[in-house]
Amino acid sequence: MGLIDCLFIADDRNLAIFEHVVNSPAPTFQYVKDRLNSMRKDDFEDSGSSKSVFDNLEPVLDIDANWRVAWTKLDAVYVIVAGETFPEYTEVVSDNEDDEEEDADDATEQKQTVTISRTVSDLQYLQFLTDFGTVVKSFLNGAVLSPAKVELNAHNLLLILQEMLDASFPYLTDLNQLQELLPSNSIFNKIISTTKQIQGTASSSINSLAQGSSLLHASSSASSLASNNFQKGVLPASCIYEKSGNEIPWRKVNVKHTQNEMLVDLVERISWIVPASKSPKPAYGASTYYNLGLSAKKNKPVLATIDGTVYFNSSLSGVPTIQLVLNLNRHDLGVPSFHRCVDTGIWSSNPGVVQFIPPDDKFTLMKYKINLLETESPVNIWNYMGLVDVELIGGLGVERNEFEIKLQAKLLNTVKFIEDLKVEIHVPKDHTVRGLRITHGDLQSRNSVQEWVFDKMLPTGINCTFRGQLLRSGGDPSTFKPDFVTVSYSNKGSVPSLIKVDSMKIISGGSTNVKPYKGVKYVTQTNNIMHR
Amino acid sequence: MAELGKNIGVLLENATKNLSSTVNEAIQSKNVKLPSGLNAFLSNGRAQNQELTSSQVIEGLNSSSDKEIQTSLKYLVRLMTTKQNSDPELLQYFPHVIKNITSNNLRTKRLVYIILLRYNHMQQDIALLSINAIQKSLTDKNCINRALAIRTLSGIRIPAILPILVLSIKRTISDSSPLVRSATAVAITKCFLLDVSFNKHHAASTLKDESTVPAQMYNFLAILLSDADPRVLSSALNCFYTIFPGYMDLIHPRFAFLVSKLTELEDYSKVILIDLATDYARLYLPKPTEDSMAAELTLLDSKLRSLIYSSSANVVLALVRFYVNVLPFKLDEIPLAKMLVKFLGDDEVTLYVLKEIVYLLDHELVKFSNSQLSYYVPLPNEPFKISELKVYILVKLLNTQNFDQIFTELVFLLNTGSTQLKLAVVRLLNQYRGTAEQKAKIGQLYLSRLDSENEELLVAEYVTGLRIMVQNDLFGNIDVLIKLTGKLVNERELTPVARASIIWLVGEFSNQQYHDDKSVALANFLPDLMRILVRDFRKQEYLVKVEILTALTKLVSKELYGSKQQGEEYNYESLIWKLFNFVLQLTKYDSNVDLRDRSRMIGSILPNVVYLDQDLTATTAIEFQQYYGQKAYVLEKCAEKLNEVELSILLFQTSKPAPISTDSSVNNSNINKYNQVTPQELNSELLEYYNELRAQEFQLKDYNQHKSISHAAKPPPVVNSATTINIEPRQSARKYKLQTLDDFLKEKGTLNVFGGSEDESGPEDEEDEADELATADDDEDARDSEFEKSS
Repeated sequence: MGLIDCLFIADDRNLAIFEHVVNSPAPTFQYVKDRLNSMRKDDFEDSGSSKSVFDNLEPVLDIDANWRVAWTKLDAVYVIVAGETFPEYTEVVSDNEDDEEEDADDATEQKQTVTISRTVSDLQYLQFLTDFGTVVKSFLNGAVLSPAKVELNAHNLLLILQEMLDASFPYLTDLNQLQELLPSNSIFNKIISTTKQIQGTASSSINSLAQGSSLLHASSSASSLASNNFQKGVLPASCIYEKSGNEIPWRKVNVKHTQNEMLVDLVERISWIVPASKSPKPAYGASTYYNLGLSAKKNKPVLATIDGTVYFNSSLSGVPTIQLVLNLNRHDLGVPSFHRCVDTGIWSSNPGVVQFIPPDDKFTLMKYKINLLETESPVNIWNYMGLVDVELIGGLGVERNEFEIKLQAKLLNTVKFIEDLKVEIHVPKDHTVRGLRITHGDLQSRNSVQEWVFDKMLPTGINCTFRGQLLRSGGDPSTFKPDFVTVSYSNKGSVPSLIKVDSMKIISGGSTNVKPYKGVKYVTQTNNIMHR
Repeated sequence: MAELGKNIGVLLENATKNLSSTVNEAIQSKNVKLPSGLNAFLSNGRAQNQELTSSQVIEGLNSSSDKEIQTSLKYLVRLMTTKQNSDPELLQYFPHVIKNITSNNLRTKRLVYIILLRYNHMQQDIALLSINAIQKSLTDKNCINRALAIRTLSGIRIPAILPILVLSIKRTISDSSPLVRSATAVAITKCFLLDVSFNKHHAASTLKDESTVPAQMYNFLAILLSDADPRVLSSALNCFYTIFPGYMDLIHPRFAFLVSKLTELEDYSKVILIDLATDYARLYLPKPTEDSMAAELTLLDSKLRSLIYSSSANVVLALVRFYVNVLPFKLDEIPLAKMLVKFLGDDEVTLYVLKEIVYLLDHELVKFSNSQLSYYVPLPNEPFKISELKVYILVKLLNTQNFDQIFTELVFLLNTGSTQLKLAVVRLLNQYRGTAEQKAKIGQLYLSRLDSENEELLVAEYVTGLRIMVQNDLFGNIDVLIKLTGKLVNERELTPVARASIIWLVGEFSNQQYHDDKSVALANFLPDLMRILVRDFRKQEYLVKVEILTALTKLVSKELYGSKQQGEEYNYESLIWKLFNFVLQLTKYDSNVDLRDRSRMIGSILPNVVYLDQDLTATTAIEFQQYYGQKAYVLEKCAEKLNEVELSILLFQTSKPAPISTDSSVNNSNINKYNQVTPQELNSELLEYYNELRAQEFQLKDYNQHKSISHAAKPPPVVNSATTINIEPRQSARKYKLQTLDDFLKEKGTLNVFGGSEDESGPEDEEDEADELATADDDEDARDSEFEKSS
């Protein structure tokens, strides 16, 4: 009885490759699969296209009166949990033999009919699946999960699940806590820890050479001792939960690092959609081919959002409190999501200031969403739409059956290259693209999608043009223009919102004698850029 | 500088040399214990994945090397989880596995525990041998071991261990480590469920009797729910939710305390507490108004304000549920729209957040500005279910200001989307009730699509949309109908579904009273239209045939009825009558059973020659004038039938209500269900009583006083309760007396298992324990002999 009674991992042919029963009775995988299959038939007509039973199904669903199933796709495998559902309402029970007889009688009479709701939010399941995915990936050092990988690591998965689930409920799900409870002994970790030791010894020696002191030596040997103990399966001396009153349970206890660094990755994903302009285009397009610039007057985008994520990766000893100050560039970040370590009070009174005691290693510090269309101040939103601009013009040429895609990679001195630039040309059904004149890159056709692909590294500050024609299935030119084009690329060195890290410092805790190395990385990615 | 570089080079060189020599050594000599992972790495990963023979497994399990034991255990665990029907094979190793339970290696121990938990009830006697070792671990110096031990002990599904389990829980419940106390909450759940499944007593009555297991668990849980550590509280709340959900007496005195801890809990437990508090506030707190709020609610409100930044959509949805149901007047103060849209992406959570938005929109609890509409623009590469919900929201948000903006988006989807999405768009748009002007735009769009669309389902949806429009306001949309009939005549490539729907619509139209020129013109055209349709009746699809028959029936019954009301004789040579009889004749011999059935039914109700004249065959060509001359009696029969014509009017001429599209493909039931709260409200007469319950004191368990943990930088949190009692952390390893299982079994019933370590339990408790052991006696006697044999 409870949230999660069993967990399965299945491959894409619907075969169970891993089964773990948390609490019996639990349904068998076969039963779950049969039920899902029958629901899918009720639900959906064309099942021919996908092999897996899960595609097209809701992520959380009741398979019968007793069992609820939730699933998610993790790399190449499906993770499925099933749990017994609670009744929607439970009666309130009270047997308070109170001193005031009368009142108590009254109360029991009244309470006979009182019920409280007990419906579990579907998101409880999904949150567990997400947490499980994060933890497993981290313990397997970010490996891609395949059926073979799952089988090879069955014991590791079980050890993780032993801590993550008990009594049908998520038990310990925090990564740092689990790392402390389950010292990982994978090969990779060993190599990393060994190399870290070597590096530590080296750097301490260098330090002692440089400073003539061996202050750091002690700490490095301590940390190597600890990792040795891990390897032998001996427990670490202290643990997050040794004593009560630990207010930062997300951070490992007694963290010691010889390298002192904190790194911030600011990653933003752009989405924008620009509608086709209604204004008539010049009738004879031959001249526009040489006019490389994009039309100055642009339509108001239908969609213009930026999804930002701030990752923080630190190797800092002790319990440092870090203050990260972001220059928000007058953007409205809405209501960002923060890791639990962040003091949200400081943010809400002082937007842009993130103060926190970080967990060890890498974690997601915050996420935000900017809707550029919502900004009240009259800014030119085109300044925040990334480095690549695109335009699709149809009805060109003598026969008015040619179209042109213009692309502009803007110049920015912090960015040298645009990476993996690609334009997908989406055409009406039964049409193909014929390229007439292409200034850069070439036209490729992959899985019935036509792509204009560029070099892996494209220098900034150039204009590219693609002139083409749509062909009907018979090969005759068609008067249609492509439905829309989508652009994808990434670049390092800037983010579209132009948000910057103003400062990053340890304001308390941490070792005082060494100045930490600080690094900030800006990455732009695309989610959906579309010109109609 | 150069010197420094050289130094580094030498250092690194030495380091690598050292590393490689270690590795070489490890390969050469078996004495060096290398971690199994590295060993596997060195032997090309074969050790990890190889199949072991049964003798190898047993040898490994009995080996003295941790590495070999673990290799065997890992093999078994892999067998257990990844191979079907591996149970019989694994059970044969079970005793060998259990032997390793005393291992000092935590990894080994964990793996043994896992196997024990899976098979204990299948080989109970062997499983019971492990109890002693687990009990020993309960007093381990390391809290991880203790926590694991109590969780494992409670997972053994053998009712005979209940007394031991209860005593163990009693011990660990005051452990100094929050991890162990949190594990105790888990153990309480499992102990309770074990007891319930084997002693099927009624929970409510057993609670009155302090000696029963449920009653003891209830009291234990009360202790854990008073714990100051958020980790423990989280587990205790999960336990409460699973086994004592309706027992509000546990909550009343602690409500304010629990709320004060809300933000420190685990996310899963936050949700449980917020959900609980939502119902609690409705049932036991005075209804809040803008001017007055119970102190508990003010506290809860302030705690929830900081949770709007939570990275868990789960928590945010619970928070919204609370505000909607308890503090609806504060909804304006929280940034509802921004809080929800930040979770919109392309994952599973997005789906549920969108559903929540649909729920809020359906209940008019949230508003979006025009610039926020862009969140709901479907993207080309996202899953259909997400796009569908977005379209649902867009249609829901349609109003006069944003109509053009949204309509353009929808048209784009109809141009480029998948068929599935197009269908969803049209279905949803069909449900939209807009102004005449907007409807005209939609109608225009549908009409223009009808010709080029090949997808049958989609055509059907277009026509349905047009039909709804025409039915709702026939004379306002007469142009649409005229255009549709035009398509019927002019376009051969119209799909059968579309054709059938239009013919049906025409039939319906014939029922109406006409009062403008256009409709009169259309009505006059109908007989001709029918003639054109009947012309190639034989080539039509079944669907179309049915609708032609039905439409003709409607037309002819109208004529018959009209002439009857006027008192005139019916003109048996009207075009409609002829067509009607012709179609009846064709359908009487159609290959489709259903069509024949309908035909016969209509033939028996309405006057006609086809069914009244027995001689008529499929091939008889009826020349009406000549025919009437020959068979006048058929006409008499028709005249008789005419008397029953009212019935047919009833059958065919009643106006159909415009379809109310119930086909809302957006299934929102789970979110709706989740957003339901208790239907009851506070009984204000009882408020006093509840206030008293809340004022009850409880013992706050704060083990925080002697903290020696390295990073306790902040001052301890202020608990707003007057009853803080600090308990000395107890050294749990102190008074344990080592015992073998045999010792235990000999002493059972006379001593408690821990050899009198109950320093804080009063004489009452001791009595209780004696009682339990006595009750458990019977169970154990039965097993006694077995134990001794096996041990």
